[in-house]
Amino acid sequence: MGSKRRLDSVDRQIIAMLARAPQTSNRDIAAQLGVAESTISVRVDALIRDKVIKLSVQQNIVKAGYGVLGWIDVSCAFADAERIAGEISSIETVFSISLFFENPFLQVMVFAQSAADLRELVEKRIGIIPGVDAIAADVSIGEACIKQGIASL
Amino acid sequence: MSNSYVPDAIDRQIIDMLHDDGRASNRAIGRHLDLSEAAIRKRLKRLTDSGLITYGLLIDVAATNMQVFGWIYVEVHPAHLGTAYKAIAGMDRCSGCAMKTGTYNLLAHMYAKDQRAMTATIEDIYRIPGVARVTFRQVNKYPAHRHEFIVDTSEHEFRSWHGGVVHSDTP
Repeated sequence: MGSKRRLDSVDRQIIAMLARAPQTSNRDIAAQLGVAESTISVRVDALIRDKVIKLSVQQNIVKAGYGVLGWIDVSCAFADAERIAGEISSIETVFSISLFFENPFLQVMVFAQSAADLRELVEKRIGIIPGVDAIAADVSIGEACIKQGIASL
Repeated sequence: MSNSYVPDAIDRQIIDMLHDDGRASNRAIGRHLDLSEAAIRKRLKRLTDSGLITYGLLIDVAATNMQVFGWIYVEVHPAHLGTAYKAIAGMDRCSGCAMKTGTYNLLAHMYAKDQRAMTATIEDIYRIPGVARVTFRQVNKYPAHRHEFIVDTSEHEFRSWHGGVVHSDTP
């Protein structure tokens, strides 16, 4: 936010090109924008160092054998929500935790290899955390996509 | 689909390196793992062809003009579920969508630049045939997000998303 440096139009063009084709080389970016490769190299390094962008690979968890996605609503006292989220975030198969303004304060998105795994997660990992009042779980059936794109870096 | 390839320990190390730096060269990865450049290339081809990994660009949310985010729960008539899924998953502001159990049988994660843009998104969803009910839960913050993972049940065009990309300098 405030600490992030302002992006100029060259930065934005670089980001737009990398968003379209993440593997574009600095040389190709330089050629398209009509600037020196060294300029692009300095800019890209700065964007990455300042955590504005990250060039990365993402694993498709469906292809990795996780066929079940679950969204687990966790009811708790507002004052306990962040602590409970902290405890839940250490579970390896948690994809995301969202904190809402009203109870259920937490929604935990998880992936599992089977319904039994999901049950284990709900009952033995999340359900036993002190302060958790109630849990309601939904499971994916059919199509699902979580795209790559924006993240908190 | 050739989706049965199970990555081994070396593949995992390659994936870890590329997660840190998506532009690491095959030569640099090879040097690090004591393998030839050709061996790395072969493994990467297998990983990308099987759909297990995708190269991508992550943009920090603070660098975008997105201010309002949350989950939209949609109740759709079962006969329209497939088309409603495609319509919502294909939206600019949608970073994820899934069919699920429950009264609300579609769930989508949405970003917008302000409250008004989010309202417009919700109105657009109401216009999709078969949509009976929409509920929006605004997110205060995300205590966790493992952005090294994506979810994709089929080979569709919704893999990457950078809605609005970056905000402009001019106020």
